[in-house]
Amino acid sequence: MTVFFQYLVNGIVIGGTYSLIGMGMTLIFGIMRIVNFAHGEFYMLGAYFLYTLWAILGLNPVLSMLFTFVLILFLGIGFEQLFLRPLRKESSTSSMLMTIGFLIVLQNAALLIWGGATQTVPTLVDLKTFSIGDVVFSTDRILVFLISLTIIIFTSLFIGRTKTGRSMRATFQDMEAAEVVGVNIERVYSITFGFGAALAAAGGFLLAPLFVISPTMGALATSKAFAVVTAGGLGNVRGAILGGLLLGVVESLGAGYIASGYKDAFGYLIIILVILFKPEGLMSRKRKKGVHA
Amino acid sequence: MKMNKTTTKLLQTIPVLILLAVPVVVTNNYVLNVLIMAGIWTLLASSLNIMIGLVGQLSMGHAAFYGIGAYISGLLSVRLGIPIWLGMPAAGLATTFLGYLIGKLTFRVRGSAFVLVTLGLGEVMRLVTNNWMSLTNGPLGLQGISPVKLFGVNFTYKHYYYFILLLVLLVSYIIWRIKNSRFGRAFIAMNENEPLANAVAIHSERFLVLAFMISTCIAGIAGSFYAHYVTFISPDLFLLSNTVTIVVMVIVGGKGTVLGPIVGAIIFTLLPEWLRAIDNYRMLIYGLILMFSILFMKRGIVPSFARIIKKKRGALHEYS
Amino acid sequence: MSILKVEGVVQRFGGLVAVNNVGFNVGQNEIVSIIGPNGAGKTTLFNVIAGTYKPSEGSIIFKGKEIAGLPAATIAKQGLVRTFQITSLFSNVSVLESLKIAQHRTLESNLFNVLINAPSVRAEEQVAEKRAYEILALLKLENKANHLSDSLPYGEQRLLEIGIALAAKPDMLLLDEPAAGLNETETIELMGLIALLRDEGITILLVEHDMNLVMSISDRILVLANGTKIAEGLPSEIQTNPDVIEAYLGGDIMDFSE
Repeated sequence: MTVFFQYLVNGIVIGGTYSLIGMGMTLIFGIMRIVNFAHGEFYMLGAYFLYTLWAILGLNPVLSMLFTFVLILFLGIGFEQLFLRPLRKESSTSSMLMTIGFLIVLQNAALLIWGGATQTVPTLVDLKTFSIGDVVFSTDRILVFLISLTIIIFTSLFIGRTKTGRSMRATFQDMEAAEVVGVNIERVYSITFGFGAALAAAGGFLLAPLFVISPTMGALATSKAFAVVTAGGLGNVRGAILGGLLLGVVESLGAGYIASGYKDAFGYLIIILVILFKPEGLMSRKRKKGVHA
Repeated sequence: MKMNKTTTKLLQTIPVLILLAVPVVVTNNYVLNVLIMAGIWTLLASSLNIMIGLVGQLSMGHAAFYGIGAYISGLLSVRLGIPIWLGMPAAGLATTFLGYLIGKLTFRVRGSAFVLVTLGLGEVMRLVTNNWMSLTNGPLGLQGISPVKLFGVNFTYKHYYYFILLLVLLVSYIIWRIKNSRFGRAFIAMNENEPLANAVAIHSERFLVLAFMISTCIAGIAGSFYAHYVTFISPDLFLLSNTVTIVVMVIVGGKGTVLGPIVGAIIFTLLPEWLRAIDNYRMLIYGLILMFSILFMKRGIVPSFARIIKKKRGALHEYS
Repeated sequence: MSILKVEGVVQRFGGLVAVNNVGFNVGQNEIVSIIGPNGAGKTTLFNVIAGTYKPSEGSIIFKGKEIAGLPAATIAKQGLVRTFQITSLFSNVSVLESLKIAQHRTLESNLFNVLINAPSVRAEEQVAEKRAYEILALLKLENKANHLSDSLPYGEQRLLEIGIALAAKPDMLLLDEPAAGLNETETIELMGLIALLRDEGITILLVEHDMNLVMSISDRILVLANGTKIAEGLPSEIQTNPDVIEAYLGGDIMDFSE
């Protein structure tokens, strides 16, 4: 039983960062109706920016994280304005392909800049462990979970309480109606994409000290974001938060009890099963068809 | 499109004759190898084009069917000593069936959900081939697949060249026929306007599944050819970068046309060979090409050229 | 002999009842119009008949067979073909090609024959091409055959929509506001076209706001208000029916203006 709880705790800690990544992707999908294939690349950049700013340049780690968040925010906004905005009138396939192109560019640019070898980022705090019962906790993981939680709360407040957040929700509900009542759709799109990317980057810089980092780490993160978002329901922010925790736990238990080689397959299994049997997501009740009078 | 009939015939025949003559002129195995690889990529790009270009669904797991075809053929050869002549049909049938299953299950949901499922399939297959050591030999890959042999003749590069050329011509012919039939029209109708397609009695689901089956069958056959040509396969076949390469070929060459994916496949197989010196930048360049062609050359090379030619003839509005 | 028999159809969305217990018949080769204030449930009823929605209750018999709840394509296959309220075309396809696409229902060649380009396939393709040109002639769009559907002016796009429905060789056509957005001349042409279709043996059910058109071409009219059928009868009867007048005047939205 102790082993089970240990897996559970480990799963929830990692799951918190999956929630972040998933929230970013679900925001982008919910509002812009496109699947962002470059999502994991923002995650990867988050890790590498922290590595560069902190481990190489020796900047304060908290400042490094803030910098990284803001830099990726602007990278996302820039990409949206230059490359996605011209495609607004096209089918969503064009936008998806554009994000695939960006995925390739970012991944290979990272490969050229930082090299293909894996790197490590030092832990954020002195590594200490303590246990409650027989379940072991380590300070670095606890810290990662707390920061994830803070960002999740901060994001919820941003969407729920600010004017920009209200515009985002209005656009999510009904883009045309939002436009009619004066919401600047273009601005909402840019901010959404930038913010979604920054959330992925946050997942990246939080996990960086726990695992090794490499330029190709994004692909796996994208797939996990897909799993989280599919399980939570595409466009459902609360669903993404729960979906992230769920994926973390399923992976941790699956790797522990079934086979660790397949750890990364569980996410895909979730995607495939959910899409096949409950395409609206695990968290949502069945959506009603549009009302026509 | 009403070109003079003889001109059309000539335009179709001359390239084929040139292609047939290549091994007579070119005896360099390196060049032949590049051309054979271009042939394999052409099969893959043409088959993915059925999905992206005709029915308008983005399948991001195309490499999975390629890989599955390769593994089925490869395993049959290594484990049971079955030659390509049975292995290839088996691979084609198996991937067709898989296409049917996945199509049937996923086409209730379209667009992004389809992208996710196909993407997931590729990754799951890669993990399975990596981890199922006893069957696939895992990441070490499967070695010793029998090379192709026919009537006691061991295939050389020249033979492989003609073999893949035959497959390419056959597949192009099939796609061309389908495209200009009621089936192709149903595919295009689905892509253009699904509710209207339904209103004129086109069962979208049925045609989406059919398109997917044809597409996955060709990918499986390409995989089988690859397995017996290279005689070594590994889980890397399932890498997303393979699917991405195929997608780039289709988009840049010109989706929805028969010639576009062929042109795309040839360019993107030859290009890396010429760009050896800057091989590190290859994928970066691919990505940039993809991004900028979506922005500035939406239709791809072939349709854009066709337009320019038509413009010169003063038939601006004609449909390509 | 009625070709379409609608009985007790109810359509609910969550708690909202959009169509409430509506029943009516359409006779072979009749022109029947459905009118009513905005929000009366006309388009919903249309969508239920055409298979976009599965009715919550009730039955819809077309040519003696139950079609309620069948997929839209299956219903179309049986000869009941619809058009859409908002212009709906195969935008990036030529006019001629669109009309060939729409003949799907009557084409039968199988995949194998297509691949070997069998004589039967070639014959079928020729018939399809010929029929497409016939429809073009009917719509007076012969000189636009190779234009992209998207590039046509609005009036011609609406005509092409009917042409597409026609290419499917329907026994019955459901026209959803065919005159919406047309000017007076175009509307008159449309009326001529509808009459012509009827002469060819096609039964027509239409939803329309243009009262001139409705009153002059309909054999019978059905009036919906708040999802319920409030009247049915000849155009002359409907024009003087006090319930109908009440429904239109009582509602916030006047439809006669549209």
